[in-house]
Amino acid sequence: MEVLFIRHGETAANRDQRHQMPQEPLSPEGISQLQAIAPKVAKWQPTHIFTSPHTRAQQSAQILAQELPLQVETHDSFRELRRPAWLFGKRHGGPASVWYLVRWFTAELLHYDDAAHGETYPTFRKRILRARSILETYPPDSRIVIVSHAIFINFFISHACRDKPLSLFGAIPQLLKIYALKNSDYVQLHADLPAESGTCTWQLVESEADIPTTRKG
Amino acid sequence: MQTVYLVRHGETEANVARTWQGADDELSPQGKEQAKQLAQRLEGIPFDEAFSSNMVRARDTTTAIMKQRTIPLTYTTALAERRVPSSTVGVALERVPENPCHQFLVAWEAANRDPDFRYEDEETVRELVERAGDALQLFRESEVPNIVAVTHGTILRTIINIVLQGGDTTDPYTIFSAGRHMVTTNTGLSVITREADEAPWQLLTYNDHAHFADN
Repeated sequence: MEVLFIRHGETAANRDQRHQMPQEPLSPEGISQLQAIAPKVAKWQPTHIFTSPHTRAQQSAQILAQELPLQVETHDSFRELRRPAWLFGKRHGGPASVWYLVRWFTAELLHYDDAAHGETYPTFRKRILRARSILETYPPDSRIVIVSHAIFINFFISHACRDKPLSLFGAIPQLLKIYALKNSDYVQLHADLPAESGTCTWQLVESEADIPTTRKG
Repeated sequence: MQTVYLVRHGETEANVARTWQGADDELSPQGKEQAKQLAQRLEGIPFDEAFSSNMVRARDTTTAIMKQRTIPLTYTTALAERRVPSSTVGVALERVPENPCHQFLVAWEAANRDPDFRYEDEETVRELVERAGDALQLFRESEVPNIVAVTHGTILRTIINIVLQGGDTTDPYTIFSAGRHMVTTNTGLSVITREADEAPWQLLTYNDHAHFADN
């Protein structure tokens, strides 16, 4: 199985580096980014195209689908990390974000309730593992394009073969990689399925999709 | 006015063998035939949007229904089947001490059918009922007049029991246990409607399976 994760195109909130609502649409630049890569994604010959339910991902997937003989399937398992309402509009590196992040990692310890505080790390991790197991129910020779989000994609990679949580320090490199995955960038993963029980074959691969990307590995 | 056509997936080999199943069982040849007959039956209904469980047997049923349609389709875990304990997957219930399904049910009885009772890695009754509520919320938020939703027996009965209770009780056990007195056949069609945004859901049809009356 080949999976090509593509981050949605740019939005106004991305440009301002602010946390955004699910309804945030693509900016004109975001639309151009997707139009630019669409023919190359088609050449990769996907068998499926999935998208997160958020508007910026839906719009991105529809642009890609114009070049594909496929219908876009929305999967709620590939949505972005659900954050508390008070974080929307706040800057990524600002004090509110840092405070949020510390609480997010320690949620289990402090028994935070998901409804009030957004998805906690344990809940988010469970969803990622479920998303992985959903992918594994598709035919082993599938080539799946998934339009998703920076945090989701990076944590999916971190947890592709790891069910246990990352430590706070282990997660710092992952958090830095989130900023390295620019709008409309992609990463390709490969898995030999079905894997023997107790083994994991998910791995990052050098993509054969001929698309310029700012992110490597 | 909103109408939701709730469909249980077609038959799987596990349904025939009455074994408890996980996420990746496929439709049997008979199940594929049922899905085709259901799709023909639904042909004239102008659905605006489709929702489906992400499990293989539901996806295959959805594919049959979606055939010529270009409406938005969302795969959601809100419509997935209740996750059963891993030790019971692939096992048929027999009332003997060494049977894992039996052991699970005995433990649940011993816990006085506590909705928060957890045996292994299964979904608890409270989690199931909350998720059925999420499914109804998803339909409300979609706001389109005609929805088709492909789902599974236990979660389907739970959704319908929330509708039937109309908020009179939110007790997860009461909502869940009423499902034991309901039969849901493969590709059975149930319809719920609501008159206006704030109106409660009403049950119009339950488990109509006239499209395969020959079985």
